[in-house]
Amino acid sequence: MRFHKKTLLFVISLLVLLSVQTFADLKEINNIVIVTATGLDLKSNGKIEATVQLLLPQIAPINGQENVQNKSTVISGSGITISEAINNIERKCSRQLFRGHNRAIIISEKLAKNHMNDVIDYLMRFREYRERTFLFVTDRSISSILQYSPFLEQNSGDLLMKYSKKNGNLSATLLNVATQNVKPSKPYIIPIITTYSSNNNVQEKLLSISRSAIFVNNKMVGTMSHDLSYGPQILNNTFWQTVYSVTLNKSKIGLNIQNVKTKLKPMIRNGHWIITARVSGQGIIFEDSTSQDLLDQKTQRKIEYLVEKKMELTIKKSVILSQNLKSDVFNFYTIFYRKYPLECLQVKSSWNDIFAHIEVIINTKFQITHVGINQQ
Amino acid sequence: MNRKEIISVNQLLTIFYISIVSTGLITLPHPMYLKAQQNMWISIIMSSTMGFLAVFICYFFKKNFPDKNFNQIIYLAVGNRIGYLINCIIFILYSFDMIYFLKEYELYLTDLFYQFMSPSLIIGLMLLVSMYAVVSGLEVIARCAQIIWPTTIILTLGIFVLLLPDIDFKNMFPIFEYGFGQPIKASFIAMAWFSELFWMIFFVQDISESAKKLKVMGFIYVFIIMISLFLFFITVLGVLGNYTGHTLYPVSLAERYIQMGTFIERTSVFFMAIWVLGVFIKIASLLFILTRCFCEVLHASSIGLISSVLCVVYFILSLILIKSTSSLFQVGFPLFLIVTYVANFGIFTMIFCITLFKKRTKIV
Amino acid sequence: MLKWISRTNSSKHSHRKKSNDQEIKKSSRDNLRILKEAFVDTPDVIMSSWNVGNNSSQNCLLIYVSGIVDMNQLNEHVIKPLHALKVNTNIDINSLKNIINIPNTNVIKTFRDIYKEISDGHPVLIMDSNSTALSLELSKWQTRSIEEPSSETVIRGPKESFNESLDTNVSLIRKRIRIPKLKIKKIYMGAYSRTPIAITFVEGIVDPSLVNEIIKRIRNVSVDSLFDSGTLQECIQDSKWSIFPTILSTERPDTTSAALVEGRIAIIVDGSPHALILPSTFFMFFSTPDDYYSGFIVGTILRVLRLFYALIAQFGPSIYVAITTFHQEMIPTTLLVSITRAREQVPFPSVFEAVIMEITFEALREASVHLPRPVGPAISIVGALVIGQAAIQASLVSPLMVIVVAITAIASFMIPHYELANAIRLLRFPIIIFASLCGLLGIIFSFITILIHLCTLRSFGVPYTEPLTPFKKSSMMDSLIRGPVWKIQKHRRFTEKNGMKRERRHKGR
Repeated sequence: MRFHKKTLLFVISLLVLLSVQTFADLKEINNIVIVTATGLDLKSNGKIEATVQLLLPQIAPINGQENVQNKSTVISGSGITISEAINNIERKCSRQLFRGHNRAIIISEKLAKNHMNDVIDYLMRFREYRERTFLFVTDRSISSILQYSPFLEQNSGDLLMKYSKKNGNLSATLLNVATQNVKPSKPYIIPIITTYSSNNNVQEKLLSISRSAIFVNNKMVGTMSHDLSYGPQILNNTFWQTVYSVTLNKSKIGLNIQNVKTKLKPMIRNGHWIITARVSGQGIIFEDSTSQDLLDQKTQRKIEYLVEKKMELTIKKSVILSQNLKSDVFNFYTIFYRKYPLECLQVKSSWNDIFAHIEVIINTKFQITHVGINQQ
Repeated sequence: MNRKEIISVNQLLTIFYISIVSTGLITLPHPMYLKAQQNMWISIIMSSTMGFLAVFICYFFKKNFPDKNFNQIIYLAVGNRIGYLINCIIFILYSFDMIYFLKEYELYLTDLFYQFMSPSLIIGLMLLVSMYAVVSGLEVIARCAQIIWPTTIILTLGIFVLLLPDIDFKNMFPIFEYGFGQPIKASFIAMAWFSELFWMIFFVQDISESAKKLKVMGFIYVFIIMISLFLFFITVLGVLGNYTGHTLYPVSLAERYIQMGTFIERTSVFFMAIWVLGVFIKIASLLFILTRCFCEVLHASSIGLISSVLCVVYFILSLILIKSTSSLFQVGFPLFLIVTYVANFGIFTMIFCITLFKKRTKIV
Repeated sequence: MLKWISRTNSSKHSHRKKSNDQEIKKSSRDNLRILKEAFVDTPDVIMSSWNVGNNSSQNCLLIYVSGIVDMNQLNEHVIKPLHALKVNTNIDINSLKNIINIPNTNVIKTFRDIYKEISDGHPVLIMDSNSTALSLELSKWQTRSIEEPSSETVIRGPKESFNESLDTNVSLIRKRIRIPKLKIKKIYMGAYSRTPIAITFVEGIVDPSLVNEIIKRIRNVSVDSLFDSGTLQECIQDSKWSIFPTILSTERPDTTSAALVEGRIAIIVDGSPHALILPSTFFMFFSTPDDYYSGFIVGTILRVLRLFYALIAQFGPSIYVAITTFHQEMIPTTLLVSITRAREQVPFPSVFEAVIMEITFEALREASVHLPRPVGPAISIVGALVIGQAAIQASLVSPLMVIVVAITAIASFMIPHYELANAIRLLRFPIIIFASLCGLLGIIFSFITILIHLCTLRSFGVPYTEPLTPFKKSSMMDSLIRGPVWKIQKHRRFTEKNGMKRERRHKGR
């Protein structure tokens, strides 16, 4: 027992000597500053400029009143690589940057045109970025986006994160983009955000998602409008809900489309690559401008037919657009690979061209489940 | 040594379940994906055959030599001199195993969580705690394992269930598009982990129950280990798909993606903490085996002295050898596979064959 | 140190020891002289002598301690008959027994026995020309009445508790186990105090080797005095250096009787209202009588909740310190913002805050134990004000720290057994320090260390973490969960088959 104690003491003292370095990893809360959004831009001299949106902690008032609005501020720094740019920012800041709570990453169009590879690589490698951060491309200046203070949320980072979850907006998380990055021709789609003046007040600006950017081989090749972006969402089964308006017998009907599911079936026939998509969805009628009997089967069938046509048209247009841009944002390669692995491996290097000539057959089946309790 | 340890079959198998699953989930997915791509779940099912073989060999030894130390079995099989040599070889090979596991654990922690903490502290703490457990005896390690196994289940099921909405099960297909060769090659990698079950031979003398129970429970536990690793692989394949081969620690990357409700996210530190418990059981049981081997090599009997000497030696060696992640993956991992196959599969199967042959010809 | 004192004492009194072995003389004058020498300066030892018989020939000497004998019975059944005696010959001890009407008498031969019997409160009668004396069991000690237990209150269940008298306590157990198999072994301990202790067990259920081991350990203990069962617990328990208690102490006779029926042994010490139950495992410290007398579902839920809160009590502040200094990514953003806001004003780092708050709370708790009753409520108000509002407003601590400390304190009070709660509370401090050095890794390693330590402990051969590991299906019904009554009411052997043998083998470590 005595000997055992001796050795234990010896080892413990050794460790105590070594433990001088334990405080190295300590980050006191008051020595870090929370970064809520990061923006990346390419300057004219070829250097990368990084901008971070910081959340400034307000001092809590002594008599315990709440509702102190948190302020945000923006700092920029530039460098040859992204990490050097961020390092330059840290030099200007009195506290350590903590990016564990980063909500959104905004990439400028200039950087997106040629350098997405660097961006994706840096973001995946650095451990503090979550894989669920949302990526955005913007055509405005980064600082205007980051300095934008929304009327509901605390800062634009929060706003962008919540935009992505709501109302059928296309969203791209870091993991989605990284997974697509290893497929042939590296296709992915990232929403574009922009500011525009509101109708009421010319001075006031609003931030929203306007279009979506399509990438091939880490280069931005084109954009897709917001309506057409429902196409990739539906075919990838990430669609949530939206409102369609159809016209029937001079009456305008507004429907809420939800629960849209797609089944894709690939086929290779005589060298032709065909995909059959079976889309099914449900809807609730929100609004009907003329009073007609909506419980009637025939009327419902007509409305459903109109919606099906509209949806088919949207999907078809988006497919044609992406085929023109030669970017397989619908992930057809994986679907073909699961059924015809050998053929796919043969054409892997020239997948862009094959994709441009894939025939897509879409069958939609739509059903109105609720018509509202108002009856005529 | 001079103390008779008595543990039950369940406790012993729990130790191995925790050890194999804890280290397997960190190291296995990356090399197996590189070999077998999306068929790695088939490889893990195929590699459980090694586990069944290990259980069968242990059952054989338990049935025929119920009270003998493993070293005594070696002496009976091949004679004193060659047996002593084999003991020394096993000791050296397992020492390399120990250093590999220590470095793997420490590099994982410093890479992902504690970038500035000195590796000597991380390894030193683990060795200190394992030494305390080893000096207290095998029963204590077995009891700790019985208390810790629910956390391993939480780790497995937690990650699987929390990622269930994001798992795309179709990523597991197609199967065998390149033929059977690649999945079988990948299963050899996983067999190295299942061959850890051969370590049961060192504890065969301590089991208080019958050999038949060892066989039955052993098969059940091999199946459970296989299911746990299978669940991890499905999770990784479902969430990451083709990206699995591009990251060194796929399970860690997948678990960082967890978001359920609004507040169950950023749970990776919690899962890391649970994982460290599993690594502790592994290092403690391996240190116990090494202490026993070394005592046999030196014909010593004091566990406290031997284990503290071994701890200091491993501490220094692990700081000098494998110093970076790249050397771990490039040099350490292939060497580890070779060492494990020679030590676990090679030597024990050879002893088994010799003993079987001797029994058949009734020399023993 | 104790041994040295008892050795020197014994050498000093060695000549007196020899005289203690002296036999009773036939002449009562000699006896009286010897007794007067022994009982110098003890005015409460009363020695009265008178002559009995027709001729007043035989001298009768009665020695007793006033205050601890039953004077009524002594007058009625001893002094009166002796005074009214009308015999001509000398009475010997055997016929004396027929004259006085006391049922319990002992014949004693030496002076040492006389001193023993007198200290025990038994009057001694010495008759002239007899070389033996008669001691009468007529003791009547002053003791507290049976009250409610002060530390183990229940809502549903009996409200009797032990008091300081050994006979009362044993009678309370006899009341609940009314079979002749309840055995009681009486041993006197303490060189100066000669405290009687009773070892109770139910024969047939208990392991006989356990009883022998306990008696052997008790006989090996040499203390000067034994005033409480706590001293005895410290002397005979297995783990001399561990902070965790391995022997359960309880004030309730129903808990003791339940333990006896399970096959455990209860030791009752005279002068102490706490009985010791051994062997005891870790999960026994988490069960209250309420669990058994309410339904089993409620009992199970409460028990699981207690174990969970024990974890919080142990690791609560350290998890807060670790997460806010090392792993801020685990906290939701809004909470992190409010923590940052609150900590802007506080000058100390998190770990310092945590330790200061914990120490203050320990001080408050300890002070409240020693407070006189009228002052109690005032101090609790001061405590709430000091620790709560003022500290936050003076920006000494952050509000979240106060909440964490309060929750931890409540959690530690949920542990029913005081000694285990103390152990858990005191272990908190090194864990907080360790957490501030290494973050969550430090907490995990301290958890592992405590786990190894608990697994190493044994309570009289029974592993401390018994029904959980080594897994015993029959005992599981009553440890983590409280199974229905029909499943646990079977006599179960909790000691392993070779429990005592292994215990003796481990004694070398």
